[in-house]
Amino acid sequence: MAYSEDDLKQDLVDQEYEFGFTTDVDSEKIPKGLTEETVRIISSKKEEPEWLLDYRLKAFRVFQGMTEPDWAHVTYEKPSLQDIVFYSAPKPKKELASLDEVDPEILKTMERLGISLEEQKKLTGVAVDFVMDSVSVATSFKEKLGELGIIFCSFSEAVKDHPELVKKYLGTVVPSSDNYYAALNSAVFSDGSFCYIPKGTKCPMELSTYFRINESGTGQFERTLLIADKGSYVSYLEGCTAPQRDENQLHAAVVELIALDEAEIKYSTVQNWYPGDKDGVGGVFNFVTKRGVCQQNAKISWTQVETGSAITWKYPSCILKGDNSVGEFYSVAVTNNHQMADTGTKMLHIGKNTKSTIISKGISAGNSHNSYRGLVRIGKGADNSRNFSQCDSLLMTDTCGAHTYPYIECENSTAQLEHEATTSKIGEDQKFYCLQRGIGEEKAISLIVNGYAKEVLNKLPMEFAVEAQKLLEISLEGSVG
Amino acid sequence: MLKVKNLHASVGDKEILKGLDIEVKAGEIHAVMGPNGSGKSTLSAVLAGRDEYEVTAGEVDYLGKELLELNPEERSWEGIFLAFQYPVEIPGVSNINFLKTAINERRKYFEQEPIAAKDFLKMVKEKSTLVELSDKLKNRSVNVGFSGGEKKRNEIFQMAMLEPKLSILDETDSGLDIDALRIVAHGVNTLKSKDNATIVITHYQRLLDYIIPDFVHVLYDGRIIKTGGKELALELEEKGYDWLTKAKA
Amino acid sequence: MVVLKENNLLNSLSQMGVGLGAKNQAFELLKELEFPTRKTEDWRYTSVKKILKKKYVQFNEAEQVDLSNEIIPSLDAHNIILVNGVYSKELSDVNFPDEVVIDTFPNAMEEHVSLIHSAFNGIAKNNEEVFTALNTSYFHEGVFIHIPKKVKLEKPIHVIHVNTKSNVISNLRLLIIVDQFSEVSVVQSYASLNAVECLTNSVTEVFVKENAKITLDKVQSEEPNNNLICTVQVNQKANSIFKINTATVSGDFVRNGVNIDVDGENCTSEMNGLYMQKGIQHVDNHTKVSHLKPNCTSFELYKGVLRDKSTGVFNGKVIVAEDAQKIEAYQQNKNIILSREATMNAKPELEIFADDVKCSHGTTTGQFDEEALYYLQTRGLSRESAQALLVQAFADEVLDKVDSETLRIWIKEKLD
Repeated sequence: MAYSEDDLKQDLVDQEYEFGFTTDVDSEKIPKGLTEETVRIISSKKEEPEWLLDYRLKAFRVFQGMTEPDWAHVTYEKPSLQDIVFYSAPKPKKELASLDEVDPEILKTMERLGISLEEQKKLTGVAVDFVMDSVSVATSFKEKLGELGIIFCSFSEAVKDHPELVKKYLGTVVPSSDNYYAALNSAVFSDGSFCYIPKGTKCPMELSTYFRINESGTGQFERTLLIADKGSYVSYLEGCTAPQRDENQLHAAVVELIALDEAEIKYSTVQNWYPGDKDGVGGVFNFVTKRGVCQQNAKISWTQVETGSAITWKYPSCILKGDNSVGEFYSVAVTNNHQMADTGTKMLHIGKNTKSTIISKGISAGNSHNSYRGLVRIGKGADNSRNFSQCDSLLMTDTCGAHTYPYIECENSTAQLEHEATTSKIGEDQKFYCLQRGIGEEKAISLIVNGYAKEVLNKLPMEFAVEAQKLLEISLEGSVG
Repeated sequence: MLKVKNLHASVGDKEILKGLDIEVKAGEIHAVMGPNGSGKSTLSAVLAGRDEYEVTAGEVDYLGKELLELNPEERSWEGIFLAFQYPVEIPGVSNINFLKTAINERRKYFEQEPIAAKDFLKMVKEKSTLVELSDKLKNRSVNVGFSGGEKKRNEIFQMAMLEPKLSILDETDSGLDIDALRIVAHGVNTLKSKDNATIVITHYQRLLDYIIPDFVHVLYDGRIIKTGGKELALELEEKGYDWLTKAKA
Repeated sequence: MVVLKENNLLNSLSQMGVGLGAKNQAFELLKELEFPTRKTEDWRYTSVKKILKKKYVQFNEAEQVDLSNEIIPSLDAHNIILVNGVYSKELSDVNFPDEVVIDTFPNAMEEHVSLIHSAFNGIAKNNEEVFTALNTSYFHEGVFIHIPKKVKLEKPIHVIHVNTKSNVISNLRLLIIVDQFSEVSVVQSYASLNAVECLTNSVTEVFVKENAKITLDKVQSEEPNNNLICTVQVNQKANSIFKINTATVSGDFVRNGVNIDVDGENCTSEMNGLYMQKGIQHVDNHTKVSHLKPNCTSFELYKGVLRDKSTGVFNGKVIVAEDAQKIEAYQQNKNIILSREATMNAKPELEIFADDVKCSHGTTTGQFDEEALYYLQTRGLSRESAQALLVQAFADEVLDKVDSETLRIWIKEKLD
């Protein structure tokens, strides 16, 4: 380990939300509110083909007939869609041919986020597709990936350059009628990322996208479509940091993963949207639909570290359609102050010999509520399928809540399912042991919590593991009751 | 080094230490023996600063400082080490990372730079041979999946790494087979110097065959009721505690 | 004849039984309430459509029947008999200690009016559970059991319920008050004699006062083609012990609800259940323990074996309220599926609002260990008998929780 707990401590000078700043860039906005006209404007601004406009309009009509769900263990004032600006793009000063031409303001923002493209290029070999608000402004490593036939670009570019792929797969895993937020996203999605890994190709680097809400009052509706063709492999990283805001911001993304036969997708997320202040004012509403489908012998592995957002509603799921396919879900969710998270996964076993693993570690502090909600369904034909689930909750204060709602449905007598859950306080004995060895309380808690989450953190790529540890520590600072 | 005067301590409403006196000088090894429930573990917990135990009277002078005023980590930084009777498991935190954190926290207290990785690793190598702790155990999570004997050896390894002035071994011999006992004792004896001191809390004389005490104290009903040389331990082994406790009663 | 159907709630049925105000209230509620659908979260896996379609008759008088099969021969108990939902004084044993009350509400009202009023309907969830509201509205005379302070009833009370006519609806209502420092064991058994298409809707309210102890054993062995909805509402005060064992042997549709409010410190609550399902049997076990006060412990073990086309549901919820510190709550649910056409749905839930707690749940669904089967086969057992032996061993873990050996043996015989 190059990065020790100590380095970490040193990095944490400022206890406040460290990415809480806004970038001063001229934005092009459309008027607030949501009507069919809004959908048409978005589509035309993006110069989209007819079929995509049709897709959006169809979704919009479905959306109009839906109501916002309220089964999750979260309470909040439902955002008024008429007060949201559904499209905003940073105005490029001119055509961007290289990094040098990127708005210096934006480059500065990236630097403060610690993701300087230059540095990342040199040091980590990570290709970065940086999404500022809704439009992708900088892309790197494109050439190198291009040589392998890998397509990694903004969603808008994909629509222009690879319409046949987008058309073929868009909405196949998350239909626009799936749920309220998915329908909303399908109607008004602004931009996002597109990735295609050709047959038999192992993507040589971690693909990474940094999202960021920047413009005040801007809704963000990302759309990610990732296709791993037969026998390919890709590791995709997604990280979110958002500037501090006093008003709530809505984020309703849709992520679709397609793992064709023998393919493997590893999708990692560190989510650190602005969680609101200590009194629960402000913060991002994060309502995300993430789902992947596995064909024969394919594997999808979701790893998430959730520390941000005022409200999180998120269930990265796997449809294990092909025989011998594998689904994994590794999650650490931290809530503090007045945050509320309702997160988990769905593992739908359809094919024979399918396997799924769920490891969920919840940490609740302050006055927050942290819920695990998961579904494991073994279908009639899913012979010899296996599931193992472990859902643990750690409580830091007597004013927070930790809840576990697993649904386990088995229609096959050859399947084996095992679910375990525990809820407990952070161990007093462990704390005293640390104290006796000269490790102070805050440090001891950080050590114990990181240890508790280790099983999940270990699944993250190295660069992310470090950031994730840092986020856990920041999120829990001053949380000890 | 350590002067305990008229120490009273309770858990909840129950008084456990009822006026305990003990004095330990640098270079000495003291054994505290006594039957179950006499207050042995309470003594170690109070000295280490566990907050379930309330000190109701008495004073503890440690190297000229009011020990009871310090919080547990400050006591640790000042050189007090407790080898736990039941070392706790901390999943996901590697032994090495744990120790490095502990050492650097102490160095920070003394306004020293963090230990260089090279020096730290050298130290780990050196000290772990002392208690024959394998590399595998060093990199595992703190005490997780360790056998009883391995946990105790790990305690002595940590003791060696933290170089305490006053070590308190709380029933370190419990649950040890004879080989592990020998290893642990060897560790303790090697670490002994004219500048540090050790309090060995034990139920049996067995450990004292390997760690030779300068003084043996008998703790009964929250007080030291007899103090003697190492031969007292043998006498206790032979006669049990009854002859002393009855005389007391 | 009565049709249980939404918006057509038993309108033709005249209100019977004692005139407790609660009945009227419940009846008003019943008009408002809707029967659950699969969209009702608590009934997600259990459809009541078939039950609602049928027509039922309600009896007001107990008839004479031969219950020799239902009385546990070697169990020395106070047998309380209800036939088609109506208490039968003739068939029941009335020789219990003077201070103990076991009688219908109308009879008990004369002497214990204030006690009954203070407790009856106090914890039944008429406004949440339509079947409870139905019960409160229509139960006939009910049974009131009162164990006064510092009484340890030596013999168990066996409340035997039988349906003897087809298409009967039996709204059984029990109120049990176990006063301070008292102890009692109650067995509730549900059976039918040559009756089909019945609906037994049983509600039991149990008040366990300070330092009291009660064990409730439920044995459900109605003939196939019958429907049973069994709700137990419990309120525990400080230092009390409540234990419930539910064995489901037969009956095509069984829904059990056990709801415990642990409303005092230092309580122990224990719930065990065994369901051995075959045919098209549907058994749904819902339990909810609400820890409202600190320093309590709850244990739960539910196990099931599913054969043929049976469906099992387990939904266990543990709630630890704010400030209810030092709670230990443990829950286990284990299922074995022996048929390709059987289905098991499990939903263990934890809702924790305090921090100093130790709570866990675990659920497994699977088959027998092939190694164990093989081992037994190498010892000369046929595969069938090896499996039977393992089923038995699997079930024994729950059956062992039944304190009375006589009762345990009787349940085992029924299972065979």
